[in-house]
Amino acid sequence: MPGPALVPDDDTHDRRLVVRVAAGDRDAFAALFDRHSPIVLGVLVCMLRDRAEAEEVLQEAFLQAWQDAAVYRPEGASPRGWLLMLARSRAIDRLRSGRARRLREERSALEDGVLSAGAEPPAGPARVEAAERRRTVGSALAELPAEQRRCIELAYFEGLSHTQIAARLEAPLGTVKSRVLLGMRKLRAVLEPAV
Amino acid sequence: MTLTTVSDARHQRLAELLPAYALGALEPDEQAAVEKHLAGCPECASELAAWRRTAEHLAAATPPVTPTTSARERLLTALDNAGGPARRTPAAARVSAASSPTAPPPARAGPREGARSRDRSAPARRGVAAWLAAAAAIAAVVLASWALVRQGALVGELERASAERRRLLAEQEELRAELSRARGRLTELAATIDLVTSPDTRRILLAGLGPAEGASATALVDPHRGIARFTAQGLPVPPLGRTYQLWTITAETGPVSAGVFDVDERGSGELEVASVPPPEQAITWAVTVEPAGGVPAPTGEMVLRSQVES
Repeated sequence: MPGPALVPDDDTHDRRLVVRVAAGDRDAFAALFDRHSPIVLGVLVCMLRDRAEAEEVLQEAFLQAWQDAAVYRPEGASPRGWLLMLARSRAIDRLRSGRARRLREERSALEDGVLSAGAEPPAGPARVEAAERRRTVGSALAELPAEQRRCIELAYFEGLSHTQIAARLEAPLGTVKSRVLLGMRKLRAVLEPAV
Repeated sequence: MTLTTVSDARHQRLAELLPAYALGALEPDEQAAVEKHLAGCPECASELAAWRRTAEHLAAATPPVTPTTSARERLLTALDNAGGPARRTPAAARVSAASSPTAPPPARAGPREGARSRDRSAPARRGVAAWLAAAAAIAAVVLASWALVRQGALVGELERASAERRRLLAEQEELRAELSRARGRLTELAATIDLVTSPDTRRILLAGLGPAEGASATALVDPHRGIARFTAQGLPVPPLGRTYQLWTITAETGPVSAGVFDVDERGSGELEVASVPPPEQAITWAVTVEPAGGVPAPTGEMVLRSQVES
């Protein structure tokens, strides 16, 4: 078994951690948490606009990961993508239930501050890596037409559905659907170039 | 041929929903349709993995937030109560082992029990995998029923919210009507104030006659615009099917109707007169009791008549 030290291929390392978690390895679980909780929590704080509620969802999502590690399918998503999915779908459930959405709207004073919500950076090499990833996706987003970018941000960072985006932007539903599709195609072409 | 075309079109339509599915932006019905399709379409399943990687990149656009140490401790403590992957009961393990095609024969039961103390033999790992699968199935059932209960609660909440919305809308409608009435009243009052305070306004007093002896009325006439505001007090409530009608009478025209009015339980009534004969003519003002709706020329008893001009 590989040790907990950093290995060159992070994704392979993550996958091994998940296999160990599936076997009940608490150290592997703690390692997975330490590696990915900051980015997951960052997204949750952005979505819910409430640190305490975001930490609650983070806790639920990682508990679910602990319980579901055995059914994790590596071909479906990377471990990080899987953890983000677990957390985001819980946050979306809360936002669509209405109460959290209302609270969020009240807290969301700075409409355009979505991508710079208050946060402290993690320490060490993770900070450099996070900053690098942030630059990459930031410039990919910046290349999109503004309205496509807005639709994708509302979906990912505010947890809005097509219909809710259409209502928010007072745009026809069909238009919103195409903006999401076209914007995602461009992002994929930039961020996931076909090999 | 047709079947292929139909399913191709369906496949195409659902494939276009995959990016939004990866973002979590679909409505529940579309989401269910995509999930149903994914189960039988390996091509879409692998496409979805690519869309999920794209969505995963987006997470990097927001600054990471490190959880507090106490949150980390709480989570690690909670693992003990979470019924995690390594915490199956031996009974559950036996059930899943019996139903698993890879389950070792009963003679190998000894080593499998040993798996709980981190025995790493292959059959033991298969045993662990089998109970993980069983536990996952149980967890799925628990999650599904939890989702149902939660859905029930949400439906209740939704119904309460829409009842509240209907109530608020009705209330808003009422307030709007009240506001409109108040505005109308305000306009009237403003017009009256204009009339009362204008130095050119002429005041005509009417005195009660016969059975309406205690009644009185005033007509405030704006000679420039040819309009008047008439108010009466102390009139008896007219018999059923009857109303009061106001007349302006000149030598040239005879009596001309200025409109009909009703009185409230205190005998007060009022009327806007849109057209008053020019001030050069001597006008007599009079009120008669007439059939409801009024008549072209007076037929009933006169109850008020103008006396003097001041």
